[in-house]
Amino acid sequence: MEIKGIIKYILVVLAIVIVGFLLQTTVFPHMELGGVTPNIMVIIITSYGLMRGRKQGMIIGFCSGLILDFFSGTTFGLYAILYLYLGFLCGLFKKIFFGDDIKLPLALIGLSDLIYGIAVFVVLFLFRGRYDFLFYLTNLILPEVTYTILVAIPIYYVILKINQRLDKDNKRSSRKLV
Amino acid sequence: MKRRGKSSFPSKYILLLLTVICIMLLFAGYATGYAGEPIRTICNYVFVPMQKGLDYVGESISINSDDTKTKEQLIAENAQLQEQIDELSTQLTNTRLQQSELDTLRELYDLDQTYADYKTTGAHVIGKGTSNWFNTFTIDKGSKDGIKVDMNVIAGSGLVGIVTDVGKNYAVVRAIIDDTSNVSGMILSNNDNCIVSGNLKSMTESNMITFSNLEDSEDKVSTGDSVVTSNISDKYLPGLLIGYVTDITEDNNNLTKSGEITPVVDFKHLQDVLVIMQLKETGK
Repeated sequence: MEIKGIIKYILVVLAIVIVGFLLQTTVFPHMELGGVTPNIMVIIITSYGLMRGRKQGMIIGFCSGLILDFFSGTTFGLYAILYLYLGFLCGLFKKIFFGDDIKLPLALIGLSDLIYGIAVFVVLFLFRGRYDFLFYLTNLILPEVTYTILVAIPIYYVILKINQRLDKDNKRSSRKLV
Repeated sequence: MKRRGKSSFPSKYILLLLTVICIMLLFAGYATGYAGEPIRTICNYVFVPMQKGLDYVGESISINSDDTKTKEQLIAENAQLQEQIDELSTQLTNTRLQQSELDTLRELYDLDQTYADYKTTGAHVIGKGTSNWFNTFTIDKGSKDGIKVDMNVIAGSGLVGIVTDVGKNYAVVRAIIDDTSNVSGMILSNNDNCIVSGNLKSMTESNMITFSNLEDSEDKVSTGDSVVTSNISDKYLPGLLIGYVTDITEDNNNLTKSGEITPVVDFKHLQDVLVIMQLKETGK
C-alpha cells in the first residue's frame, strides 16, 4: 500500500465511524424496541477487528470510544479503554475468518456486545451497589445483543463491501506502480 | 513496493501504550475534570451540525403508533379532546382570575420574586445518550448561547435534568431518571426533605424513579403528593416540580421512608426543553 491508499483508507474508516456514531445517537433512538437501541459502534469495531486484525481493531476501537466519551457524560476515557480491548479481542479471530461467511462475524458481534454490557454493568452499576445482575441481563443486555445482531446483518455487509472495494483499488494502483 | 512499517511493531506494545493513555485519561478526568478540550472543538464542528440534520430524518421514520389508528378512532379521540379543551379553558379562566388576584396581593406584600420567574432559553434535543445504560442527551445550545455546567433543564412544568458538559454549540444534559442522578427534593405538602434518585431498574419496570431518606415523622405524606426540588439543594433551583409520590414504604430503621415517584416529564418523547439561565447561588 502506498501513502495515497493509506490516507484514503483512513478517511473511509473515519467516515464509517462518524456515520455509525450519528446513527446510534440520532436515528436509532427513534426506533427503540423493547426499551433498547442497538449498539452500532460495537458492530463497526468488531467488523474491523475481524477483517483487519488486532492493531486496526484496537486503534479504531480507541478512537470511537473517545468520541462516545465526549457525548456520554461518564468518566472520560472509560469507553475508550473498553472499546480498545474489544477491538483487540476481535482481532485475535482474524486467523479463522474467511470473507463472505456471516456466521462468525454475527456471533462475534453478539459476543462483543455481551462483553460490553457486562463490563458496563460491573464498572458503572455493580460498584454503586446495584446488585441485581439478572434483571439487567434480561432487560437490557440480552435485548440489546439481539437487536444489535439484527441490525448488524445489513451494516456488516456494507462495511465488508467497502473494505473489499478498497483492497481491490489499492492492489490495482500498486500493481501499476511496479 | 514499500511495506508498512507497522508490521514490525508488535501489537501488544500498541495495546499497552493505548491502555496507559486511557488510564491516564481516566485519572486526569477523575481528578481535575479534564475532558480532552482540543478534540472537543473538533466535535463541535463535525458532529453537532450533522446530528441536527439527521435528527429530523430520525423523527420522520420513528416508529409511531399514531399512524396505525383508524379514522373512527381518530374522530372519537378528537371529540374527547374537544371536550377536554372546553373543560380546560373554563379552568384556565378561573386560574387567570385567581392569578390576577394573586398578583395584586403579591405586589402588596412586595413578593414579586417568584419561583416561576427564571429566565429560560429553549433548546432542541438533537441526540440521545450513547448507550442503553444512561439517560443523557445532547441539546443544540452551548456556551455560545450562555449555557453553563450545572444549569437546570426543564420541559413543560417539570424538571428534566442538569447540564453536565458544555461545548461551543452543544451541551450534554443528564436526566433525573439517569441511574447516577441524585436530586435533593422536598414534599410540597409538609416541606419534608428527601433524596430523589434515578433508578434504571424501576424506570424500565414501571417508569418511576425512587426517593429515600424522607423523615415524615407525622405520617402526613401520602400518594399523590407533589415533589419539588428543595431549597437546600446545591445545584438545583428551588421549587421545580419533579413528580408525584406513587408509592411509599417505611424503611427498616423505622425512622425514614422511601418509595417511588412518577416524574411529570415524558422522557420517552422529549424533543424541546428549556434551560434555566440562572445558576444556584450557594455562597461557596
